Amino acid sequence: MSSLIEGLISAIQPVNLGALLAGTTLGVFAGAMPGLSSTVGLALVLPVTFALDPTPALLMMISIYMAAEYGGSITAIAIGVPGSSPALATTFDGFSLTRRGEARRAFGISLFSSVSGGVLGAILLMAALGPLARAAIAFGPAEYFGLGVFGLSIVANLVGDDPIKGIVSALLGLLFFTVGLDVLTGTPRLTMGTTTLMDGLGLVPMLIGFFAITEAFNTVAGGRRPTTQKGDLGGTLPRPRELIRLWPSILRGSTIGGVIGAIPGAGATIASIVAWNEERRISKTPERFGKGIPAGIAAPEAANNACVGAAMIPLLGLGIPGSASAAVLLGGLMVQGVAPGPLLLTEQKELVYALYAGFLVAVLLMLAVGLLGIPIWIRVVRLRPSILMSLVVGISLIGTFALRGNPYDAWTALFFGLVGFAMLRRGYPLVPAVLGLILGPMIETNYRRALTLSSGSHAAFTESPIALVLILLAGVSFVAPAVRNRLVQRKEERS
Amino acid sequence: MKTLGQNRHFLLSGLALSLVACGTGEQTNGEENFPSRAIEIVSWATPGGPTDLLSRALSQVAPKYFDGQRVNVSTRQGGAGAAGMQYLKGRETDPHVLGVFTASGTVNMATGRIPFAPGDFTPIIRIQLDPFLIAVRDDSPYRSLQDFFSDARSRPGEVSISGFGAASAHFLGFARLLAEAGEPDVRWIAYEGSADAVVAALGGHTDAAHTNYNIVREHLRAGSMRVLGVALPITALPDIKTYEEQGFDLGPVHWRGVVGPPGLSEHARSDLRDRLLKTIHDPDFQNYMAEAAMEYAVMENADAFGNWMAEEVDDSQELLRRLGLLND
Amino acid sequence: MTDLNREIPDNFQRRRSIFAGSMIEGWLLITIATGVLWDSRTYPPSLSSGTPGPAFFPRLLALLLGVAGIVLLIKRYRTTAPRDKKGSVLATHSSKKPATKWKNLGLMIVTIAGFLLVSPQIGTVFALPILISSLMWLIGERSALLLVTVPLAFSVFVYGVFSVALGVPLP
Repeated sequence: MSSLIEGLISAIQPVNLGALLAGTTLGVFAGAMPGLSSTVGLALVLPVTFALDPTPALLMMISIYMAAEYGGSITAIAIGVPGSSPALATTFDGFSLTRRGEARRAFGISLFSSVSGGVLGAILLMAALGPLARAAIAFGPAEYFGLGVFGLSIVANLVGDDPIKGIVSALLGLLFFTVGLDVLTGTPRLTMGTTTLMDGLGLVPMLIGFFAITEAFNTVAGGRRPTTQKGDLGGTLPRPRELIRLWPSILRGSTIGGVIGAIPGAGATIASIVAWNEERRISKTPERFGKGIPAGIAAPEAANNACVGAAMIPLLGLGIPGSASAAVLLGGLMVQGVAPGPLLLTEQKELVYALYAGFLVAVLLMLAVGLLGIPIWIRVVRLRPSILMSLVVGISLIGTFALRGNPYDAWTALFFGLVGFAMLRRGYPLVPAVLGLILGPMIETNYRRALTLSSGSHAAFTESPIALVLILLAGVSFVAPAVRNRLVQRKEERS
Repeated sequence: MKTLGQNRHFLLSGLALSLVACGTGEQTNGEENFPSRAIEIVSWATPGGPTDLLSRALSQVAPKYFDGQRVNVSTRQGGAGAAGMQYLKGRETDPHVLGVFTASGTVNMATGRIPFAPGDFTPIIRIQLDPFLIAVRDDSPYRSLQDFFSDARSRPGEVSISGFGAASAHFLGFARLLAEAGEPDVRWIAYEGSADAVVAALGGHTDAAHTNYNIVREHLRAGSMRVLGVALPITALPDIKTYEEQGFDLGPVHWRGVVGPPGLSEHARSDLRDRLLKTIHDPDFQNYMAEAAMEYAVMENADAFGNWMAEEVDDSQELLRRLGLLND
Repeated sequence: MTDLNREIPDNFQRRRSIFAGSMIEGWLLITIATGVLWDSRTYPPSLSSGTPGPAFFPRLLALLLGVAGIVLLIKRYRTTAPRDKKGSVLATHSSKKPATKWKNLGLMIVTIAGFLLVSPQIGTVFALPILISSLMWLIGERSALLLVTVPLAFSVFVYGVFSVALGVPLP
């Protein structure tokens, strides 16, 4: 405890506090800009951190990481475009609230949940760094496959009225993933002989195409003359009582974020969607999910911020980056002469505690930036639709370029804009396709890896209890909505 | 278009991938009073990875030796590096644009995944060697490469090793060793990155990991992993036997060096080499090398470096053909 | 599909003739599936014998997509009269929408594609105002003042943030 207090004192030194504040601001910005993400934000400050001492460098990087996970929700709530991929699930309920004129409430819930999730993730990190790091590596190919299939089973809850259309959407998403070099053999698949398609179709261009560009197409093609919104459509901030009542959802979301975030390679996007789905599964009113239910914002936002602390577990405990952002962070740490690994906690105790404390201060700063920012976000919501939508398309195209410096990504976003428009027109939901693209690599690669290790025997999946449970749960999730629908139908027929 | 200012040019040159012509011939290459503007290091590697870090370390230290000009790293990822390479290739004769080339690049050339050849760039200087090594978890029964391979021979197809990629520099490095050991049936489990491959071994999912020193360094210090053998001697691991000392006559390595766009003059080339040499001898850069656990292996003779690259492409092609992974 | 510019009073009728319900989707899915199978014919086997190779997953997906396509086609033939008229189950839904303004959509696609093509030549910062202005006009903004000031301010903002503050080179 005394080490933590020393860490806190160190974190509020002017240099360190300055680094935290700069990191938080940049992080919120990078998170909120469609196309930019925590990874891009971190990569951008990497050269800056070279010039800093280890502690402020580290603090700046973690505050960017933390704030970016929150920043993504701002765009998700304001305009229904996930500012970064972990905010995907936040669009479901967050944007619905905004359309009902309750943007301020949605912003308040997401900020409160992000802050709580961030703190809970940090507590998890402090409490269980060593043991959890060892537990995380128990996840092998069979377990990853199980997690991937379990994640994909969420599709069953997202298909809407016509199951076959949802399934086709998910299949298309999985097919989009197979474009590019096969990890296990290096074979180019569906690249049509080009090099540009070799690294595959990116998630960010897909999200931008599906959410920002498709919406713009819909507006002009639908001939809807956007109306200027009048008056204060922001609603009011949530009352403390409402926030306290959301606490169970936040706890559940943070737990899911903490567990999935600690598994290398799983990540915040999967965690937040799983959190949303589990919240819906245990809810008494699952039909209200996706239509602006507060718990549908609280759980995924708590989950993606809890992931930040959790992602530090394999990073600090084993020196293993569990996400693209963590990989950049690791690079920054190594240049600073900080070598994460089993010995870090004993050899560089001071730095680790400064990091713990930094997490707590970063979360508080995020709260401050968020509270100060809400009036600005509300202004964004109330911009004229013609301006808002055009700027979203513009910034999305530029953000996509900034992501990898590859102009082809902007073309990919346009392609996905067209695909998304066509799919929506014909009644195909888009989110299953996104899930397919996210989970495809986890499912295919690990299925084949597990079989290679077991010389082709499927026993690999039943021998591992974790994998077996996940696969069974996935089976239940796939079937449950259909069974429920059938039961409801029968009831209706009888009455 | 010739009077465009520097900044404007910066903006212009971005989409060179789709319009290769755009970057060429529109500006004087500025060789006379080099460096006349900021230096650009094109990075097509994963952000935060060892190659990206090398670019960024250079960009931090180099300005001192480039007459105070800024040295920027510009990220151009995509197409297994092709996007960045295409850009670099398009900046013909311009000494202000550089790239960090690696063994992964030559392997991608060998497999034909990227439509380039070593001759498409001007080799300038090789900086680092990053020897491969084989590591196991501390509770592994293997003590040497011999143990590992003899177990593989007695249980064909059941011994596994995890490593980065398939038909990658890492994979070929191991394939060479395997050939030398008489081709026992070891299952190569490809991962998206070297760190993921180490996790697999650490978690007991594979029997060993084929990786580089900087990734397992902390696990070696903590005793949670052991090294069975290194491809070439590593300063920090004086007691570990090399492949050669264990009876395998080879030393496959990963390496990184700086290349320029095609068509650089002899003068520009030696000028760049001198400045980069000074950069890498700077204490700050040496500090980075130590922290990143890289071995210096400076090859300052640009022609030798170029030949090394070309040879590697040929060797890799031969090996790929033998493994049945290349049909042309 | 004769003259797209001809004004047809009953817009929906024409849509049905071009896009006959889920017909087009069914055939599209079957085409995609065939394409994937065609592409997968050259994939090498797995590195370890007896395990699924790179072709396994794409072929599985192609199979499932093909089946889905056939199901959509069968559904189209089997749906009862009132539904059949509207082509697909969802046509009921889309028929409530106002007719699709294909011209506007086309213009928007051309605008974005044009921006992506032109920006490398004249620079993003200079192409951006044109893009934003055109998009705003397409979405229905008619205020000349806004059509000029917003795009310019936005370009300055983008330039300041990306090129100056963050150091990201823009095309």
